[in-house]
Amino acid sequence: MLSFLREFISIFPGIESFLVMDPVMAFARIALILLGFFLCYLGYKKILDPLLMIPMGTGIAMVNASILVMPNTGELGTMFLNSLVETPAQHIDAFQIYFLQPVYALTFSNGLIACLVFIGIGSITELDFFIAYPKMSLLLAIPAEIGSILTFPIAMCMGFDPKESASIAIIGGADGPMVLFAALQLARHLFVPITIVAYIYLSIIYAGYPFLIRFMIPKHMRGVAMESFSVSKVSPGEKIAFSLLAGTVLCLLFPVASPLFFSFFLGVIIKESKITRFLYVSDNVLLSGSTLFLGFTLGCLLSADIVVDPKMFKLILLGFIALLLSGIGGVCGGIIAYKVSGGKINPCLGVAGVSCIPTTAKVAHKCAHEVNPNAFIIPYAMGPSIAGVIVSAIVAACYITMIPKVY
Amino acid sequence: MSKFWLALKFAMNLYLLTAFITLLVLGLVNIIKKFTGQKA
Repeated sequence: MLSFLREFISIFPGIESFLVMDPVMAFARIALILLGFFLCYLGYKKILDPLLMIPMGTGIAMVNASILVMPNTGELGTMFLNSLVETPAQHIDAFQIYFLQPVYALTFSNGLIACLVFIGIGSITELDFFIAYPKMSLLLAIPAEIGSILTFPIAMCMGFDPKESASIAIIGGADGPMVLFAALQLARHLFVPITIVAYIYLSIIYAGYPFLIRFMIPKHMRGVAMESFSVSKVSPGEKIAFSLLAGTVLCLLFPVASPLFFSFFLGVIIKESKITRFLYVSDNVLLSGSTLFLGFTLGCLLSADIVVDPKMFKLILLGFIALLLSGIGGVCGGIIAYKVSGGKINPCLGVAGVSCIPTTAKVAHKCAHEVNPNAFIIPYAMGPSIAGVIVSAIVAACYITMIPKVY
Repeated sequence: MSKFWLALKFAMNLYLLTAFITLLVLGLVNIIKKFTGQKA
């Protein structure tokens, strides 16, 4: 009877693999399949960002269901991809077998997927308020980066090495593609858990930051309508000139992060040049396509052995600390701006400096609008939000450049 | 404990560098606005 059952189960290699693997890993696999379902559900209900959570959740559930004893090696694996393939000879084999291996090897291992997302983000970015009020936008973005700074020593004390600590700290910059790019440059072995933790937390920002704003900013401050600020129309020429100049200078200062700067500003230039064909490609094809593969491939890479790693729990805690500190820094910056401007600047704008465009701008607007229905601050919040992207990229570039020199 | 303080010192220096580069970007915007005649 037992041998018949074993024979029967062997027809289904996915189920059979549960019997041959370590029980802890088997439970972790089941937990991950359930996590995948849960993320899909949260994405479907729009509680978390559906653009990423649906493909990521699908990937996590299905890749963990599809583990089998590989016929060629006799080891456990999946037909999706073998993420640890590094040598050219192994690549040629893997390309022919694992259907996600080409996506991983050609877009993930070199950071290209982050750059493609950045071109898309650039092509939907409105620079008007940022160019109209650059001082306010950039000065609000600087305190909102404090999480990326203070998390670094905390991670070091928790046992991570400098490169790993820097990769984790960049979660505080609240920019998914940037976290992925920096982790690939600094701590390739941890890029999957770091990026997944970052994306899950970034999805929670929309629900979490309003509590922080309500807790830290008094009600009368949140209702400032900012009527004394007008968003004047900035000419496309100015925006192109800024993108070209800023992009070139930043590439000159930080060549290691130049793909990110180049991609973002190229997207802005495509948008402002009004090249409709390129705009269609960068917005509809590149951004949508790369977001789909980013979420799906990250989900597929999240295997049970990553989740049971004790480092994962520290990562979850540090990711939370990084984004909490950035949020607190942003709110403090907003309150200072409110005081310095004599009550003309809505302090909720501070949280928009935490990058994560356009979520934080929406959060700032939501918190102001619920107190004062006449406060329509989303156009103003886009300025600090864009500045946040630029300052996050500068922080990431500083880490990528300085860590190998100092440590 | 010294590991924490050393790392914090490094991170704060990096923050200063970031702030400096950010001010450089601000300067670039202002230069562009000066050429196009808008008030910064």
